[in-house]
Order: sequence, then structure tokens, then C-alpha cells
Amino acid sequence: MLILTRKSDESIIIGNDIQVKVLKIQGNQVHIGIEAPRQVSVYRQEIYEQIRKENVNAVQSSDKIKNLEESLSNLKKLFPNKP
Amino acid sequence: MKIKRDTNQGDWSDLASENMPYPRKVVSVLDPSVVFYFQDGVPAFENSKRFVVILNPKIKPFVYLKSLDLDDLGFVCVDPFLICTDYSIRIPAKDLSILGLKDPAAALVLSMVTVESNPQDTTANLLAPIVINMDTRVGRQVILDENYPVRYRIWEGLEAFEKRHKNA
Repeated sequence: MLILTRKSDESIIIGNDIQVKVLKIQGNQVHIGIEAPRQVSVYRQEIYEQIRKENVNAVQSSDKIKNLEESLSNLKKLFPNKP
Repeated sequence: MKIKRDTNQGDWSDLASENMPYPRKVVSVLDPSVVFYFQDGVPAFENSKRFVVILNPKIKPFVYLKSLDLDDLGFVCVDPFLICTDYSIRIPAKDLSILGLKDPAAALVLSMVTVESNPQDTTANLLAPIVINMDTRVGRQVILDENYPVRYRIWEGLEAFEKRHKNA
């Protein structure tokens, strides 16, 4: 891993179009500003990992749709009937 | 851009009825030949760029979001506004720009559902909904800045609805 030392208000450039700037350092928190092209997504890593993991959990292949129909019909049975 | 519940849509009270409609916006994509393009795929499945929405009366009000690029990849989804009536999302500018979304009415919002063997444990992902621009047919899984759960128990949404219904 490349390690660079930066002060508040100093930046690094990744490639030619991504700028990462240290805005403020406050105790154990660092405020970071990121300028990146529109096609580059930026996420907090732990959130992104959580979404990835849940997407994997949520996968239902179409051949399992039968099980799913059963599962969902059970779910529907739990819903109360409105008079 | 803020997107809230469209009160013209059905709610859970109709679910037991055979006539429970799919939400209006979902019905308008009924044709499975309509392909939605996800430029970044979805997290963990970045290579899957093309999806179709399949309606199956046996699983309604859920829909099936099926990948055309990866065999066996598909997700059960549900309109989050049906299961969480207070749900209100603000789509970040970057996602809006990728989606080319200018009109909230053109947005179809779906939550991926994790189906568990015990139906009461079934959850929906409210933190990262699928947003589809119906005009451009571009879709994207949007990670919201709001503090919604990744595993929202559908059952609890229903209970909250029941309570409101009784108090009404």
C-alpha cells in the first residue's frame, strides 16, 4: 500500500481526474472531500460491503421460483384479511 | 430529488384479495421484453448490466428482477412504499445524473427482498433500493445517505399498517 502524509487542505490526485482532499482533522475523525467523474461511484466501505453481502443473500435463481411461490404464499397467509 | 409514497397505489389491506393490483408503475413495465440497463450492474454482480422485470401473479405484490447477463441471477423485489408507508428517499445527485432522472414520476423504486424460510423473517433492503428511470430504461442500485435498514422486516411494516388501520 502506498502511504502518503497529508495535512489539512492538502490533496492527492488519483489518475488524472480523481482528487481526494483532506478538509479537516478533528480528533479521530478526518473529513475527506472527493472529486471524481460521474461514472466513478464513491461509498463508505462498510456500507458498500453490507450492500454487497445482502445482494448475495437476496439472490433467487429462477429455477427456485417454485420454492419462492410457496414461501410467499405462506407469507401471504400471515397477512390479515380485511373485512 | 425526493421520492415519497404515491397514495394512489394499493396498500397491504388489499393483499389478501385476488385483485390486489401491482403498483401502477410496475404494471406499466409489464412487458418482459423491456430491458433495463444498469451501467454498473449491482454490487457483487457488477457484470450484470441488463435486467427485466417479471410479474408473476403467484408472487404478487412481489416482482422478479431477472438478469439477462448472468444465468440464475435474479432478485425478488417489492415496492418499498407498500411495506413502509413513511419511506421517503432522497436520490443523490450523482445517481440522478447517471439515471438521467428529471421527473420523480418517472422513477420506479423497488427494494430487493431476502426471502427466508420462516416468512416472518423475510426482509427488504431499504438502504439500497433499485431505482429505474422508466423514461430512459436506465436502472441503478442507489445507496442512500438516509439511515434506512438493509434488513427491514416486512412483517413489522405490516404490523405498523395494521395498527394504523385499527386506530383509523
